[in-house]
Amino acid sequence: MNFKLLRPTTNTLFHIDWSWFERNGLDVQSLIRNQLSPNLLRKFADGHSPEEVDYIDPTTGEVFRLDSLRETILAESRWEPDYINNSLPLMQGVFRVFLAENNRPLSPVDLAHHLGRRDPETILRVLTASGVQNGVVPLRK
Amino acid sequence: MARVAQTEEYWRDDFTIEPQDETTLQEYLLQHGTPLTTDEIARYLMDRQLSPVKRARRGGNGAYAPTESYEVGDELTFPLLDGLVGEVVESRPGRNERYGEFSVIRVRFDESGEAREFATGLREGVLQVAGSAESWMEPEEIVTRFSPYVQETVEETLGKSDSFLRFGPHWLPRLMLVDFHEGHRNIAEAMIDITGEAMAPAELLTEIPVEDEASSEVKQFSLNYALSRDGRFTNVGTALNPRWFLSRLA
Repeated sequence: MNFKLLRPTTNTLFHIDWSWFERNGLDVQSLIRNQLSPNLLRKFADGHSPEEVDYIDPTTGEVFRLDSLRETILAESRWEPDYINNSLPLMQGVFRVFLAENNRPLSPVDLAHHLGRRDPETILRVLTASGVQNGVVPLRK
Repeated sequence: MARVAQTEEYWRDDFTIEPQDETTLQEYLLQHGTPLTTDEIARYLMDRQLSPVKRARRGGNGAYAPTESYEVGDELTFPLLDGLVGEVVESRPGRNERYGEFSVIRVRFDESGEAREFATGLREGVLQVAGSAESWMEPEEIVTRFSPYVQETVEETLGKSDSFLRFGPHWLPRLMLVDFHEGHRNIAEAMIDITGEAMAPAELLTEIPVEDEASSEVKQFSLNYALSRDGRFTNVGTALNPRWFLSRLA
């Protein structure tokens, strides 16, 4: 088998594999919670645990059942001006983009566009160099 | 596409005119029968891209609209999902205080057999409330706000294309151009020479015998284009209202 053919490129689609967190005993809720601004975080304070709600895609009307943390990112956080900003570590920025895009598969080229960067190669290196981070993996066809 | 078409970045940085768009544009101009300005072409291209959004917002004719209500068994088309057709197979109350009261229908698509859920019975404008003020713009507003970017793309792309010709703010497909050969241009030269005055293309056309079924606008564009490439003539009017004079008399 030629491994070169399987190596991800800057056009390979990636997404968040939610089951990766469970397999690795990691708390995805807390990672998502860390992406909320202090203002929005207050909604989930005082023991209010996230519940399942319907998120409506504002363009198509399609409904996605999501926990209220992810729903808050889609409906509110993503529109905040500093949700994506230059001071974020690259991997955190990538994770935020996937959350804001409802985990739509995206390539390093797409991610660079969303992050306002011109180096998809760097993003590819970060996504592939040292194992899986934040559950972001290449999309299996 | 529809989602990104809501953003300034899309129209400024990502919108392109592909070869198939040029072909469609040529067909449109052929049907239209007159040259169009850069602004008119930009608006046509944007309208064309946004028409599924408009259809979806209007609803009716079986097109899904989130403000309408549907029953199990109804057949719906989804213009924003490339015209997919499906049948409502289930309905349940929606769950999210953000949107107020609404229902969720489950639609099974004919082509793939896949089922997806969609919101129904939403109050008008509720989706705008859900996001930010900028999360949804009506197609008309998109055209008004972003057409200057598209105009730049039109000028750049059609300017490089062999299929389109430009005179002033107007564009015409090369295949619609009426040929004004040297004999025609000699008549124009004689007319200006005799009167000693600059003349508009419409005046010149009264004496130039062109047997062509093209519209008056296309003939005028073609004459302007021909005279602009003939060194004997100079435009002493404007690009929008040209008046032709002789270079040797100017």
